[in-house]
Amino acid sequence: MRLRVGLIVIAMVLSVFGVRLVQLQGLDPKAYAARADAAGLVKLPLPATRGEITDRNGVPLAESVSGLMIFADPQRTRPNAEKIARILANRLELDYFDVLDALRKSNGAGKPDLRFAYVARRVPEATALAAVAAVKKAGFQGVDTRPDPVRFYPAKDVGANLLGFLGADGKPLAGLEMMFEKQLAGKDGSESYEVGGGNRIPLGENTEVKPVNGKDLTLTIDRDVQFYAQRVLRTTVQNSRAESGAAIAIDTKTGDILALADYPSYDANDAGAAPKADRGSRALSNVYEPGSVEKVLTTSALIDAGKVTPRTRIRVPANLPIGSDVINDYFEHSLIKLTLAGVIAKSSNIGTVLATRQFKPEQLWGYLDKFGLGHRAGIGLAGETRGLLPKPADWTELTQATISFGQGLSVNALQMATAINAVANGGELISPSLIKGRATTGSGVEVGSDVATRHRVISPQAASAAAKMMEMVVTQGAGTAPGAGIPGYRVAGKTGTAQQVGKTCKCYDGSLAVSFAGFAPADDPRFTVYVVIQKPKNGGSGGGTAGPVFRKVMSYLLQKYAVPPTNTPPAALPVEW
Amino acid sequence: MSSLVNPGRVRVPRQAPSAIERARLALVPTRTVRAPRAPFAVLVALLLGAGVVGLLMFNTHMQQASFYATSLQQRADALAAKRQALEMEVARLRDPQQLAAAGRKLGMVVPPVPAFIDLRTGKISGIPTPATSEDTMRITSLPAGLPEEFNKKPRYIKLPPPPAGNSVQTQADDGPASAGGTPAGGRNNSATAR
Amino acid sequence: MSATAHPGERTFGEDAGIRGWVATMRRHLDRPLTPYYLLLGATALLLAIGLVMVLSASSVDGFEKHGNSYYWALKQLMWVVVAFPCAWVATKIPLRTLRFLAWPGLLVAVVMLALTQTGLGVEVNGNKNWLGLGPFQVQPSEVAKFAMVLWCADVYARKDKLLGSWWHLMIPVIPVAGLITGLVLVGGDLGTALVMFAITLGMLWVIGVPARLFVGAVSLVSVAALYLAASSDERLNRITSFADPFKDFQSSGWQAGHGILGMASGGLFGKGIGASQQKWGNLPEAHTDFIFAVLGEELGLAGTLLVLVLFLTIAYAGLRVAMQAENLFVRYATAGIVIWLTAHAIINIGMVLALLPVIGIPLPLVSYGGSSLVPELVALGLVIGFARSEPNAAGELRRRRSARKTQRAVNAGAVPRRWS
Repeated sequence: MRLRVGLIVIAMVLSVFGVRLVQLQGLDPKAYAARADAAGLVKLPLPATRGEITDRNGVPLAESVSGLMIFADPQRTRPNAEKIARILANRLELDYFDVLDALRKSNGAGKPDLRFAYVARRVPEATALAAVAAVKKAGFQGVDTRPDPVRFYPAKDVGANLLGFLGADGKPLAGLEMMFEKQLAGKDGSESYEVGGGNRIPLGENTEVKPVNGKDLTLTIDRDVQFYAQRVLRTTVQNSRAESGAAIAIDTKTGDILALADYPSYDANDAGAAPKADRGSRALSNVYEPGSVEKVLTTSALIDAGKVTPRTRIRVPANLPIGSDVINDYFEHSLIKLTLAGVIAKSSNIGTVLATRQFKPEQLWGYLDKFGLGHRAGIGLAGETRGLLPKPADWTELTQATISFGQGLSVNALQMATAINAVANGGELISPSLIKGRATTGSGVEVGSDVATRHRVISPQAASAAAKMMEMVVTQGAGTAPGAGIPGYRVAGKTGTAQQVGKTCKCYDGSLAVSFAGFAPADDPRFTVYVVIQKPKNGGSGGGTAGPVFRKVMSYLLQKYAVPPTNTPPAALPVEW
Repeated sequence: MSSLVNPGRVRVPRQAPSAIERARLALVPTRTVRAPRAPFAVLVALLLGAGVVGLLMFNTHMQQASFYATSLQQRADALAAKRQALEMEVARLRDPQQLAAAGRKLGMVVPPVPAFIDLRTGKISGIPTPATSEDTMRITSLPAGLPEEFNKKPRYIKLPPPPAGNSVQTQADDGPASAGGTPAGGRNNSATAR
Repeated sequence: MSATAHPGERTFGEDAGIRGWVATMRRHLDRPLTPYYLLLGATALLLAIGLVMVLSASSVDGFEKHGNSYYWALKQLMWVVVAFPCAWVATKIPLRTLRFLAWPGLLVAVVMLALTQTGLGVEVNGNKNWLGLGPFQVQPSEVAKFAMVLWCADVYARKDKLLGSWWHLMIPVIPVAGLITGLVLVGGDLGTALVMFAITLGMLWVIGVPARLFVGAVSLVSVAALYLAASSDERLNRITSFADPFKDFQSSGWQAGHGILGMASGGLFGKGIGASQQKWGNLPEAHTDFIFAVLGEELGLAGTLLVLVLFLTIAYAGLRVAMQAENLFVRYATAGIVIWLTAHAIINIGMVLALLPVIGIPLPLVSYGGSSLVPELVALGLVIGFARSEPNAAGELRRRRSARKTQRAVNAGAVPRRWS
């Protein structure tokens, strides 16, 4: 009897269990099961590797290296969150409380903690591994790493003004990085899987969306030339205590930009440390009055129109009154008798004005327009300016006079380099390219050397004549910039020293833009180099300050690309009569 | 059961089909139905059991493979990290700044005038010009002013007064590696790690 | 009752209605050999399920800690191999020998329990109740339970005529049980002590102690257990968190909470064998105390109910053996064994279901652990032996044996093989 009671008791207890099981597993398993899934499911992103930006030879200028993201499994870090946070905050130089929040991240009060929370992203590999190792060594678990590419600019400031940089969130903030974000970024993937006790469960829920890596972007830049140009430019700008400077080297025959140096520059790996104004490219954005370099365009246009030849004789008076204004040359002289070549070699404003009187405003404007002044070159960077070339209808006699020698209009450095390159390239203007091949910017414009456009501005004869006149500029005794010449080579060049409009008084305040443009070898040009130094404070001139920069960059180019001298007799035009 | 009768083995006289029918019915012994049940059940149970055990062993094998995959993945990650470190080292050594500095150390300068020797003919083109100390170029920047970073405002955080006797321990937890010794709470320069 | 759902025999012209079915069930259950078959079948099934689940639940832990997924499963298999001959011997052992062995057995158990508190003792999870013997660790308390059941049964069977007096009821059983339970408590194993108390209480119930004694004893022990539980923080945490394991999910409710999560995610038919998520480290003691949770996750409601039914079957068949037994020792011993095993099962399953606090009691026959498996199998062997030797059952067995011989002779001769 008592045994029977015992059996009944056992049966009753087991029935209670059975009912509980039915309730738990049969009736409402969803409530708990969802919880079980949430407790075990890890979701994490698989960052795509950003495409490299390389120079024309494939040397990386911007690359993605395997950094690591550090993340926590809050379910495991919560008990020791304070101690872990202290270690991580110290190691990674993070804010202690931010880390603490990550280590305790939950789905909401009362719910189980998440399985995944970022502690830091894009941490250099060694730093991250050391930090996580320190946490493990201290006996804590639940902190781990995953690949998370870091943008790395191996040459630091080389090309930084073109490349741009990424913000703390990995989004591009400037330069090519921003313009070609679509191509470079790729598409992040994601991964989710179940874990138990820190192990991945092979038969659990498991999804993976592979990341699509970004595509590389190849530039026309030559890293070595770029580096050299930047260093020469920096030295010159600093020595002349100038405000800024730009140097551009273009492959004459293709329009490829081999170097586009800006100073001030910055280390792209630490863009935050640089003033915002220094992060863009002044060569593209800064507009200024080009000064005498522009005379090359004016005179070559006159030759092309058949109005003059290099040997045309001009009487140059001491000064030239136009209305209430008086045009002077930068050097004191009485009446001198110069050929057109002499006007270029000595950089006489008065001579240029007199020669240009044979043009109607529309004619000069037409040539300058074809030389690209007042037009964006469109190389694929944001912030490129248009410059200002006044419409001929608004021209007065004085306007035409000043424009003929490069005042009263404004350009950026790339426009000027492109225009001079047209002279070098036998009169045909090639739109300059920064991208090798082709690529599409964020706004859908296709740019690159494959889509470069060409159009004729002046005849080859006119271009050749202009080049010969420019040779006289660097000729010892004849020109304004003998220091820009390279012994053994025929070099064509032109100096420029332009007055600049000050920011405060909106008038010429005595500050200058000194520049030098040229190409070599003069009879078969391979490279065009343009240098402009803004507002030097040591009384610099185009020939004295910018000329040596030109010479150094040009001789480096000739040497690097193994361009031997042409060994033809140099131009010997008369400068006076 | 009746279908099991093999017509080939039974001689069938054509003229007596009803006799065959009778004979077939009579032959099935009712008592033998019982006999095959137990072995069959055991066989099915064994098959089921073997299936379950097999499945379990397969799953177990998958587990092992998963562990193996994880360890291989870790090794691959470590090797990738190593490769990356080496590549970074190469990149560092190839950095033109680095090369220029190394050249400078050896007393090298960029030649002022390019000149070439044609190795076949021995002909020299260009004007060989010896470099002078004037051709040296400054490759390091002049010291600039303090960057923004140094002028950041500190971030202040109010901390509750630490419980007595606990304050001594805060530094020790990070072990010797935290010898830098900045208290963790007040840091704000997050730029490098993000 | 799965074992009875497939009746071994059917007669023609049977009534298909429910009443007829119940009647058939009854008839089958009343057969003399039914307890024997039920015990044999349920034990074998539980053991098989146990082995499979031990492999499934321990493979991760085994691979991580010992580099071999089959580490624990092979050990358990080894214990089964060791236990089988012992259990077989137990089915055959004569009553006199058994009753004689009960006394030295108890002595050995007491000595082993005492040794756990010496240098030979090994502490596991805060309880010093293991004994290190070379490469093995055994839990003497498991052996002690078995020895205690046999010894009590023997003592009360001898005292049958004297049980009217309180003195004989109490002495010597209560002091000895108290000693053993005390030794277990010294080791810190509250769960085992509770099981021992339950066994003693159950034995007293079976021999017919007046009901009022139970009221007193139960209240006394409740107070003692409360005090003990409250005296250790760890224990208190474990006990209080049982009601809602998710209230303090991160610490004290962790194990029970993950047990519940595992069971719930199993649903009706489970995730499939080997597919448990909880066994990957979230659920501590997955292959021992919480194996029922893994079973629930992988095999679902079907699996958990099957296990419940199998334990109920053992209880039913065991108690029937006890009821039918003429011999008092057999009755008491069988009842004691059944109480012991079902107490284990109930405490363990109740704990996994969060209906009882978490106390480290393994699930008989299923959980990993040789020192509980061997005594349990031997004890079941004894009960099976008792079931076989019950006079009616013994007669039936003899008849069958001779029938089989005849059948074999018939098969060998007249009837063609195809028909068999």
